[in-house]
Amino acid sequence: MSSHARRAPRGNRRTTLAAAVAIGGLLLTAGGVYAGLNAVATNTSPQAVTSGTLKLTMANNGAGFSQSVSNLAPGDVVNRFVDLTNGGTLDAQNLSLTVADGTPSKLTTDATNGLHVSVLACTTAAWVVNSLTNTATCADVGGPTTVVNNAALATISGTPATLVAGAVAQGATYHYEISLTLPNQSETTTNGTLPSNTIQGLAAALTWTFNELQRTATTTNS
Amino acid sequence: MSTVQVGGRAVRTLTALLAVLACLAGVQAATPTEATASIQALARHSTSVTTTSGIWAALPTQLGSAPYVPSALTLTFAVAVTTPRPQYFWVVNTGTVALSKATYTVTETGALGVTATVEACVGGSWDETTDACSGTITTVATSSGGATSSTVVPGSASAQVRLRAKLNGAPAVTAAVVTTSVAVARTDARAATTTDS
Repeated sequence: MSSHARRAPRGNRRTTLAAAVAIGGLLLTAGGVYAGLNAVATNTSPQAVTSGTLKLTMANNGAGFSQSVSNLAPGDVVNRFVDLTNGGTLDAQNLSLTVADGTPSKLTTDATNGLHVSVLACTTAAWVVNSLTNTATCADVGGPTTVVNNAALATISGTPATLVAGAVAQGATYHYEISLTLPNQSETTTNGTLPSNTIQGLAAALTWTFNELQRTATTTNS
Repeated sequence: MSTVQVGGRAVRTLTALLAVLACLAGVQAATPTEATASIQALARHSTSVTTTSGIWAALPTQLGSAPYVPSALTLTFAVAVTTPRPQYFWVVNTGTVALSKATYTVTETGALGVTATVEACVGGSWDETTDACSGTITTVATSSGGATSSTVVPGSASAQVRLRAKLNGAPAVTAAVVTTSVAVARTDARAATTTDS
């Protein structure tokens, strides 16, 4: 029984080898036949193909984000002004803002008593900022548009705030007032000892990041 | 025997077929129905913006300079047959924001029938040798008055005001212990501001 079981596979291998040789011969023959027939068509001048660019640049209008914000008391509002330009060759969409704190504290993690952010857009032209008179004006008829209304910084750090929900045209510039507020709150310091879990004397290192996505991909038939 | 061999090949063939089908099914399941890759552009300031909150605080102390001990100030008036001389101390703005007022609490313990008063020399200065004031002596708080709001405060950060505590009589039997406490609420500090820059 065992000798029959060993001979049968040797027979199969011989059959397989013979079949492989036969197929190889057929392929060589076929190749020789079709190698003689070939036709080529090419365009006379190379087709130019370029990829687009997506660039978002930020410029301070006035102090912007180049100046620190110090000694905030509850109720204080600090307005900074920046211009954002979609400077690439592509249209974009969904411009958003997020803020990160390099040294998280109650100032940036407390959604109630921590910092809050508002963003106002001036559509027609850049904000006119005068730090000497401590004023900023927007030329829009009817005033600027509020695009982010008193959002907790703790929220924005996790979920970006939408500034433009739809298309951001190539070359478009957006003029924003970024308003940073420490909400009103009550704390009493007795004999120089700060209350527990205080909002006082804290520091944050804020990185403001604006983000846009490329426009929706397209299919062109032409 | 041959029946057994044929059965083995059939099993291997079926296994291989199932493996191929499983691979195809896996590829199909892993293929998203729509491509979602896209590019995005970011704009951020090259350095982070340092942002700090202020401190509204003041404390009473007999020390003329930092470091101060953040606690109420306790002054002891020894037993005497006549009213003892006042004792002088500072109230220091240990915060970072300007103050417009504060709440003072003065208590007297140890000597029965004696009350304590904390006074300021407004518009002048104390002559601590003669206990005279070149301005106007103003009562800040008394031990019988409870917590009292006063505009006598060190206005700016690190500023000091000189006050004194005095008794209205002699602690004849036991020493009088006068404790002064200063509390600063948010509403005691400067008003909120708006900055455009």
